[in-house]
Amino acid sequence: MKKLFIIPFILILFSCSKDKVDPNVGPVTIEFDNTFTDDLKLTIDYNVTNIQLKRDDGTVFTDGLNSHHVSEANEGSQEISLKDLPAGNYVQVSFKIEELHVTGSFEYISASSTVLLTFADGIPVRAEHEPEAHLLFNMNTLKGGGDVQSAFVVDHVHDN
Amino acid sequence: MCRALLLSTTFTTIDMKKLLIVVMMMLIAGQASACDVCGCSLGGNYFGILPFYGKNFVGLRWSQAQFHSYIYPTQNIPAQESHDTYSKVELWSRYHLTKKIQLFAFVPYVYNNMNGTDQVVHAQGLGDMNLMANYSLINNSESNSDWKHTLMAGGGVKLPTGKFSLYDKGKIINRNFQMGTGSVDFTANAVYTIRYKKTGLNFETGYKMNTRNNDGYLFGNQFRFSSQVFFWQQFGKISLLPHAGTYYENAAMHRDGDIIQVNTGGTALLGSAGLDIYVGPITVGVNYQKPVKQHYNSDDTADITSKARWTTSLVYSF
Repeated sequence: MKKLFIIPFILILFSCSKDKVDPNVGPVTIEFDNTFTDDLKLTIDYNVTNIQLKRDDGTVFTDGLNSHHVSEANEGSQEISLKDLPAGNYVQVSFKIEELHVTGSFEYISASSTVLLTFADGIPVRAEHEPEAHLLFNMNTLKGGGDVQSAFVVDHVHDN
Repeated sequence: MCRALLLSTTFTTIDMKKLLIVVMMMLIAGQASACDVCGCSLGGNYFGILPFYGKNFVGLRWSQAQFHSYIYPTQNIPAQESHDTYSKVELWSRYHLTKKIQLFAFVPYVYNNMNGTDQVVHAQGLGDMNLMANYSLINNSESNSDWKHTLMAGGGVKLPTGKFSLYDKGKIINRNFQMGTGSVDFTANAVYTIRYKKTGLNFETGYKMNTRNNDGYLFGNQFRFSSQVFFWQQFGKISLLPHAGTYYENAAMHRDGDIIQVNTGGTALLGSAGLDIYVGPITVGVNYQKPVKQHYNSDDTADITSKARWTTSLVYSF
């Protein structure tokens, strides 16, 4: 019995070895926050492709051919997480919005649009932290006749 | 990964007391990584002042803790806030395996409420079960001395019996809000009680070492320490045990894979007051805790505040 009793102590006495972390790369989350005024009822779907993030030294990280489906109905889909970016301060993002379908109170369909946004203070990418760039995609701008690029704005960046 | 289990058998010959002293020193001096701040491990397995030293018992314990979080507004997004209530009803039992070894089992049923600007969720279900064993190092409770003291120390394991991946609108709900952690965790604790006639002091400390769950999520280790003063008052067949003291808890930050999670972990110091009523084999207790000082690891865009907590319990000793 004493034997059994000792096991938890021993487990605590010997702490576990830490997992190895690559100090030169880190992740980033880009949040696509679709906003619209309360008087509208909308279904929103689109794909985000060709994401490119530019570091302050000009290096470009590309997400390649990946396509991320974003749906207003699924909050999880609105956060796109990119892994293993070289550490550093990223100052610009560009991506394509494809197959945009906004339906409901009004309709807006677009096959493909390119968006380019800059981050005033940059996104600090580093190991063991996941900064988050919070983008707003304003449906009221589309309703008012604006294009996809003009409907996007960087709200804030969480360094985390 | 841990290799400790393989080594355990070689240590069984070491004198029990020496080993326990080492563990306790570690508990006191070791890196106090932190509390349960929010959620599932609510209050850890705080024993409190336990009835009838030599007896077995079975009981129910109902506890609740509230937290408030506030996210500052940005240029385009209004402020958001959430009032969260973590509750559990726990079936718990103490059983004497031998005169010196006590076994404890805790089976919680958890029901949590999140009432936020952005998210309104209610979740309930079986929580994480806990099994522990305590060894009595000092016990003169049966002597005739006016000074009586007991020291118990031990450890245990927390099993992943609660759900740990509940989703809301396609997104995993805050890990603290889940019914369990999904991980096998190890606990160590020590309880010392000293009593002079009808007045006593109770000190309790605990440490919980967490492991990664199947999602690769790792809750921060937790430490707690409490001290209480109590009085024993007898009125015929009824005895009253009022008590008051402080409770400190600390939790390290969580990790999701390699990533340190913001807005997790922290420390809190709570003042506590309570009353236990003994009638024959039945003990009814109530305990109230109010934060005196707290610091949760929120970033500069958010505030997390712990509100009051309370516990009521009903125990049958046999």
